[in-house]
Amino acid sequence: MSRKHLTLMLLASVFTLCLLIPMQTANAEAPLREVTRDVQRKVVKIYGAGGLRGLESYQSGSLISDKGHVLTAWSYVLDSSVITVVLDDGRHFVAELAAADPRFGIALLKIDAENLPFFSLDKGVSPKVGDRILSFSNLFSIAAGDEPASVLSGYVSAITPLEARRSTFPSAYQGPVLIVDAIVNNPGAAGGVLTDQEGNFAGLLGKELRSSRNDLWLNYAIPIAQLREPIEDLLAGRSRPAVDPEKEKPLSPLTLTHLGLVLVPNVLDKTPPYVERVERDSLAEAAKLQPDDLILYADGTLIPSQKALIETFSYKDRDDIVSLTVLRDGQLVELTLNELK
Amino acid sequence: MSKPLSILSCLLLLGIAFTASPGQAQQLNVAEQQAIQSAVERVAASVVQIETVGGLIEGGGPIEGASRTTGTIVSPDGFILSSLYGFIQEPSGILVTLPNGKRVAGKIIAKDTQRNLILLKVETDAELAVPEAVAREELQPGQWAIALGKTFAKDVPAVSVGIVSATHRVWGKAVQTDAKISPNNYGGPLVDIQGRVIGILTPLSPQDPGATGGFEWYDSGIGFAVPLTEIQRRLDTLKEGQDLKPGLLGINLKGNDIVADPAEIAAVRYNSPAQAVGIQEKDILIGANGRPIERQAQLKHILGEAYAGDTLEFKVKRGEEELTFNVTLADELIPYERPYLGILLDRNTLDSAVVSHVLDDSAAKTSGVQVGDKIIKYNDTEIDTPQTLREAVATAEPEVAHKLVIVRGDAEQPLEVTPQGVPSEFLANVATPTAPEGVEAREDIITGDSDFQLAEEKNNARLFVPESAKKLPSLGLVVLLGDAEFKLEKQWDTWKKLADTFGYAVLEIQPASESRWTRPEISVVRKMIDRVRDNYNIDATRTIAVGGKSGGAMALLHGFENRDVQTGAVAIEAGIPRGTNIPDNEPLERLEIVFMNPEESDSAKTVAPQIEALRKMKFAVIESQVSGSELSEAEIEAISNWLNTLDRI
Repeated sequence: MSRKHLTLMLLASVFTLCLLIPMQTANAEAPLREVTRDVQRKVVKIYGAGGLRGLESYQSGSLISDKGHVLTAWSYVLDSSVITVVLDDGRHFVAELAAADPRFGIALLKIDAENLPFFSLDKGVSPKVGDRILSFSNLFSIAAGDEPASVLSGYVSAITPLEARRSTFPSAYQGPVLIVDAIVNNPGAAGGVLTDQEGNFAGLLGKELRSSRNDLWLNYAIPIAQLREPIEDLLAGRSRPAVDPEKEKPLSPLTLTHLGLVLVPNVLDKTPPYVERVERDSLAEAAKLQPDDLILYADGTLIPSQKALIETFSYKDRDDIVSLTVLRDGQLVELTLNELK
Repeated sequence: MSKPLSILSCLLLLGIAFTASPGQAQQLNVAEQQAIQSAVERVAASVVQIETVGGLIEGGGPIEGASRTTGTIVSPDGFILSSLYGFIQEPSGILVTLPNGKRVAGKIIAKDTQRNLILLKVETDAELAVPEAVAREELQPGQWAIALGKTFAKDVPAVSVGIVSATHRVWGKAVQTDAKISPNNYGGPLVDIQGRVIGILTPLSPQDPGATGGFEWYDSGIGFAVPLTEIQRRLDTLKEGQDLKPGLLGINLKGNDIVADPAEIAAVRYNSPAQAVGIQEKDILIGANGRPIERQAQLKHILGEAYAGDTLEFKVKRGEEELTFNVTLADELIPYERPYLGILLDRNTLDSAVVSHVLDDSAAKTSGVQVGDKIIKYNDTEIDTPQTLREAVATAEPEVAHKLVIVRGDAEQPLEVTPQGVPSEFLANVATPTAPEGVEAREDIITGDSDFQLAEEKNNARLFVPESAKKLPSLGLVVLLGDAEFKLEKQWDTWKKLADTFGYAVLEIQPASESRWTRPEISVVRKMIDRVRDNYNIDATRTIAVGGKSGGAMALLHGFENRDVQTGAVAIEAGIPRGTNIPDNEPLERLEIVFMNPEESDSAKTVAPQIEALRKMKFAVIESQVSGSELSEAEIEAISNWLNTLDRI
């Protein structure tokens, strides 16, 4: 090996190395980058009704079949004679509302296109708390035309029943949701996709909601495991009627009067449910409730106020068996209403 | 020849090592996720769900003090730390779900109001898991930080992943993280990647030391954790049921720029720890406990990490001398009552203190001070401006006779005066401001109506500057803060008319939502006032905020936090929102308050205990009635006249 030869080789190697060093970082990110690009192709932008009173006229969706089926959130945006779907590559389609399931707040659109990349829901995953997730949506309608959907990275914070205000919640869904630590539920994000870090479908981003418990904005997605069956129904063309939560209430609900239970005067927004008096020979007496008991739980639900107790009772039939936990002289005592003798 | 070759092969090998395959990279991502999960598992058994029931009604805005919060176990026998935030509604019942699923009643043992924490105790037969803690000296910004909360589920803690953003924040009280911190995990631990506890999550704010201060940053990427190792050192005190409180020195500093000005003392409070050891006005604090104090911010850091009862060794520069004082910080100071002479000074004379009005039934009247007297000395202080007299009176020893020297005619004359407290009532009308004789109108001053908006804020505002501004040496300022339920703009013309008479500008600001004010908008109000102050010569001692309903609450909140630019607050049908930190009355920081409520109304009843508390703190508080859902001309005139007397001494 001549000296010149060696110098050349050294130079060539250094040159190769210069190419390799930037690639080192590129490669560590490569899977995430490839996954992201791959998923973005399956996410669509949806435009429809809205625009009035500060309501957004856009949301997100995802392709779930090779025949142009788009899964999205059921909302007023779809309440329009023309729904437009814009694909990742910028192509526009007028979509038809194929079916909807208000129980889960989901809807299925159909566009006239084939051979599109799509999510195989069979490959849907159920991430655990602490798992890395990616969220894809057109939040704030920030991506236009052929711009790909925005991707956010975060972790699954919790898996918990959706505790959004019942009366104002536009969907009846109260099942489990994935709570994440990325700020994913912003205007336009509804109908977007939550995936694991391999790009598998993990959940559908819901509408913006505040927690009924502490009024904070929730960042959540409905897990695919909850949606598989309703989506199959939608693909088969079976729609579900809207649900009125009021109608879930029994005809003769449980009331304080029916129980013979008198609480302390309800003067504050959050008056605690302290028992003032128990009527003689009443159901409350049979359940061994006593004056000064503080009712803490009804069927495992925390009762923060008298208002909450009355609300909880309104969903129970007057003959339902209801377990109560009360605080009596610093001790927790378990009681049961309507217990069969 | 062999040397270059070996270098070459080394380089090549390195290159190969760096070039991880995509599969390996994905493994790295998976390993990272596993590391996070095992950190969570290490500490999970020490994180408990706390449920609270009952308590007081919430104030406005988001529900303050949710009914579910998180706690972190700190001793095997059942002591649990949580954030004060979850307990401000003073719950009537506290329930803790232990890691084994058992639900037990919890008891409040003590509070740390310096760092917004609370210590609870539960009875337990089984020993509870106490997590390992990591000292903050070992932390570095950029390292992993994982926040845990237990409000969503009783079994698995909720996880939010981020990094340590800073190690000493909020005057050294806390570590900062970009993990999503909110009432969903307040009270829970922030842990490192090894599952060691960095600190307890709680809202904190450098400006608002109340229990809700900093809540507005929830889920924003700005969150705080109070270092656990530092609380552990004080755990015995808390366990004994003794609250930990901010440590007070009892001094006012000179200058407003805390990151530039040295800690030179402008005033020492009577009966304060600083006075007890002999620290004096004009002393400069240059060090404490071996740490240097070159700027006021460094003193705030040292006090931020300390508590009442702590003894600090202060290094003090007095003239050329360097002195050392050991000061034990107090948890409260004897409320400061502002000494009040009952005089107004000539606003047109800026280089001396000339009496322009002596109020009836005042200390000055009794001692024989007359209109036209020029005060040249107060006790030992030479008086050369109205401000030197104001400070000399404010910092003089209370409840004793003071000597003053006046010039009347051509003769100097000594007088003696014993100041009283500031009266809690509107004063009789005094003369409205007049321009100095023979002064030319300044044409560069823009008067009249103008729209007023800050580019970065949504709040609409408008400003009115009266014609008299062209001649007056300084203007008062009225900031009107209405909301949807209490509109102030209807009387815009009345305010304008009186503005000219009483020599003040009027700035009306709307809440961003146009319906009600929210706490974070305090900074918007401040920015707008600053903008007016940039363009006009505004007298801070005659600047007031007048607000109705949520705007009234804003007038108070802004006033408490911005006494350097606001001296009066008028709250109509409004009280102080829950969780607000009311600052001490200070010699050089002044806020007078007017509450206006309809007679016998609910709002009057709500405010009554607040007025009592403020008076206990020696604030000058005026209670007045309001006739309807808007201000009448007579009421606006009463407020205007009050503003016109606010610079009294």
